[in-house]
Amino acid sequence: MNDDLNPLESERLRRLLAAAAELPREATPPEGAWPAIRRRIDAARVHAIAPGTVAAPERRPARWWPLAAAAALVVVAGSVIVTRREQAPEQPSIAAEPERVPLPAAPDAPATQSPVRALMAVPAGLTANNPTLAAVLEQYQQASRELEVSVATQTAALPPATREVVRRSLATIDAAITDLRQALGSDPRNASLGQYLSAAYEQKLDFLKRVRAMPGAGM
Amino acid sequence: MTPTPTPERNRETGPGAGLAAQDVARDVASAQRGDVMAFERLYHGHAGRVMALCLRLTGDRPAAEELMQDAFVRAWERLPAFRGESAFVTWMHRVTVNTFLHAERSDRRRGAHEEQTGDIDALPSLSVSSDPGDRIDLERAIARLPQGARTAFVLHDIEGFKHDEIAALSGIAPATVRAQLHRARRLLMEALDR
Repeated sequence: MNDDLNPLESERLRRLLAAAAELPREATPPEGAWPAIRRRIDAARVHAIAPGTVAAPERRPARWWPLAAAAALVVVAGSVIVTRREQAPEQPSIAAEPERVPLPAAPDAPATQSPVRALMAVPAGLTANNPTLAAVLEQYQQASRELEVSVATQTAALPPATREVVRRSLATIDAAITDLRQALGSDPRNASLGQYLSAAYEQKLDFLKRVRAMPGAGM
Repeated sequence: MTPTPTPERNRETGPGAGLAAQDVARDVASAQRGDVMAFERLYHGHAGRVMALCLRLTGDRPAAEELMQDAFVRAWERLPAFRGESAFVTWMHRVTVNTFLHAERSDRRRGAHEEQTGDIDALPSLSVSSDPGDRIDLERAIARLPQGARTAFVLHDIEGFKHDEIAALSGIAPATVRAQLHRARRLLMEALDR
């Protein structure tokens, strides 16, 4: 467009382009963007490994409970994969009734009584075979314990139906974690299992944070 | 039409590019092997720059947030094909632009219309002159451009893409790109004069 510009217009264009060249190169990304991206990545990976076991990757759900459902679905799908893998004919099944998490506990229930504690130990053999993953899992577990205590004292204020949804969703995630931990205990070098377990813990943390932030959850 | 010197934007320099190249290369290699935590580090190192690009391309914060998510998910999917022939930040910009233009083409096929209002609060305002009386918010002016003109201006005059590249990526004729760029510059210069 320079051909038909007079000197004044050329100067205006020069100023415009100079200003454009000075525009800031960074903007603040939205909070929570990475967890959402991570969920979509995890969902796509599960879908790629076992087509049909999980719905298409989510796209920015608007409310907390569909997100929780989607997260639980992904975890369950991962758990199903693990269960299928582990159920070789000569091996005992690990798909036994998963430990259930009685959440929300009574507000004054001591945190140390939660059965989730029993699920939290790093799988045997993992520390020696994969210390990095073991350290990461320990961090997840610590964060999960802290959040669990916080949520358990707050959810009593929620409507019973909502509490039941929370309890079922969390039980589903914990059941998947149980299966993944058992599988990883048998195969501590399996990187995919480690990633699934990390993703499951991350989804649990995300879920607990959302529950804690719910209106009426005591915050 | 005399080509205007393209501001070959320094995508490989600037605040977001301050990451040590060897750290980025290591994380890219790990992420290509499926290490999501390495990819998370890449995300945190580049999200600011990608978000700025998304805001300028869309002119709308919710759409920019969605575009940013889509771009990083797409980057994860395409990462195994990344050969390191360019810097990761350059590749990530191209993935973002491709994701945006792909969605735009889909919108065009659906007949969706686009006149959008600017929502660029996340970007600092900017003056084009040291004269306070001549200050304008160029970001807002860009955000209020019609979609096609904004795309041409952002990609050519800010991101440093060539006309032919934009045409190929957008699926439109190079002459159309030039016309859109001409329109964008005219509109922005008019804004400068207000």
